[in-house]
Amino acid sequence: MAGTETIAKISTGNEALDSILHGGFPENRTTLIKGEAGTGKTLIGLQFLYHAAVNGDAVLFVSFEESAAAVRQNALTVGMDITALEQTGHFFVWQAGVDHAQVKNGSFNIDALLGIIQGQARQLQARIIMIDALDVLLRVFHNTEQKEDQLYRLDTWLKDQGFTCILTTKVFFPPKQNTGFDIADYLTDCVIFLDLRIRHQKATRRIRVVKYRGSGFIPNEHPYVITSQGISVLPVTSIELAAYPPPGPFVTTGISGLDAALGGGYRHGAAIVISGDSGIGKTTFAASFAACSCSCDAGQKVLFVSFEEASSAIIDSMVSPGIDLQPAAGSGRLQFHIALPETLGPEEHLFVLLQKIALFKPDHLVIDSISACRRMGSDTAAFDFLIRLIYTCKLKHITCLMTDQTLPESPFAATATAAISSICDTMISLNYIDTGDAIDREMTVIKSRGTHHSRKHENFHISDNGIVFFSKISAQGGR
Amino acid sequence: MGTPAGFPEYCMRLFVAGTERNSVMALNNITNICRTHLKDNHTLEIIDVFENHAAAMEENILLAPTLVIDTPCRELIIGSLKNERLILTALGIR
Repeated sequence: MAGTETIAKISTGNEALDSILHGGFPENRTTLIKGEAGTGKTLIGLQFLYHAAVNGDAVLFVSFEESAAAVRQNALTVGMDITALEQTGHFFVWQAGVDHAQVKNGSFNIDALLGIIQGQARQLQARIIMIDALDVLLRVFHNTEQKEDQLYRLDTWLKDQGFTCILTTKVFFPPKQNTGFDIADYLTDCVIFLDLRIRHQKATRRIRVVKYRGSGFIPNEHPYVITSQGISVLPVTSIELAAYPPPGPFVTTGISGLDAALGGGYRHGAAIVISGDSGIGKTTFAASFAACSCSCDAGQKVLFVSFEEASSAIIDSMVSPGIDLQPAAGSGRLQFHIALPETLGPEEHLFVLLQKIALFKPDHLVIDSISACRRMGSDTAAFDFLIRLIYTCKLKHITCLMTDQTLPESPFAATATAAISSICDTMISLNYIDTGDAIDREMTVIKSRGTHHSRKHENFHISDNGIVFFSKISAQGGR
Repeated sequence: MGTPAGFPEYCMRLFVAGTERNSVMALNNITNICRTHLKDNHTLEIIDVFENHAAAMEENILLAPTLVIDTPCRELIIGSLKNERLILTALGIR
């Protein structure tokens, strides 16, 4: 891949974006970033300029929309101190005010802007330039041909000068009839499109490279979030997906009967779903695993993600079935991550969780429950969130144990599980059975890749000492 | 046209972009107007944005050519200045 790249590139200042662009923005060329209002066009450009300036380049930022003070302020909120760079002569912000009340008398063009850029760039010895919200300037030109002429003029001139340039422009949704900006797509060497979708009241941002002359790039849409650290692109690429390692050795489930039924236990790094009706013991299964993994003997770390209850409530509720999570939590080996699905969009949820995983480096992850993920916006949002989380866990070799609540009308096809079943290694179904005089519980291993698991319905009950399987099954492990 | 008493009545600056077509046309047009209507009761400063970008920057001159009328009444006129009437109106002559 890298061997065939011939054009020079400059890092975007964003690792994920660099990997999508196979290295960065094209040097001495023009990159167009387009998107609706609020998609973070300016921020991506600022990140690039800031990074270059910090590394010793001089950069010029021409703003048609925001005041220089606002640009500095915005940059500061994501940790970029432009003022310091301005003092050393590496950064220059200029607010270009457009006076739309000027009297027009004959033909004119944007040459005065070019003169200013040239003079200022020369003075600063800058070779990286950003022109933010160029559409504001071009509003002075009334017809499409004039706008196209000016864009052509600008692009040719920038190339002649050898500047590395970032242009940003707004796009409108629904798209307006030819805004005169369509030509920019053809002129510029690299085009990046930012998209903000609001679905089910949740905002999802996506970035896509539309074209990149002379270079390869990853053409997919990539979700991204705007956080206090700036733009964070979440790369989900086919390359990365293919590279995850197979499940590792057995780890105990914390329930001896279940270990037997699974032919040894869960596989380390596997994705496991336990589905069942409300109250059947899904959380108890998950807690058994967490308590056992975090015990002094095993000494592993578990991140327990709950979308429903506070950590104290989870610990309390596990006292009656005899599972003591207190020592695990006290030792720091068990950590809770409590997140209400409604509070954030799926991208933000994923980002926060991935950050937590990177920081805590758990051996295992428990998610209770994935059915709640739908409350992040929609089934699609939940699916997106889960699939990316599962892949991340697989890549990092983290066991991912998920519980899923079945709907009464579809006891077998659990809500979220159905969508992710193909990437799950182990699926366990918990069911109530009416024996006439009592309600019993049974467990069925629907699948478990790479194990000799039980194919029977296994009865269990929740005792004061955790989950207990009736003795008959442990001897019948194999196929 | 009265004779200038101390200061000229009409002070203007024309921002041009080198020898670009519209800029050359604007320069010709305004020179003609000056010669015909303003005689020696005016000043006209020609500023090439590629030579003196700071002046353009200071006044936010992004389009060229731009005629800045400073006196008698500040006015900005962009373009090749092909309409003489419009300029005379802006100068308060017609």
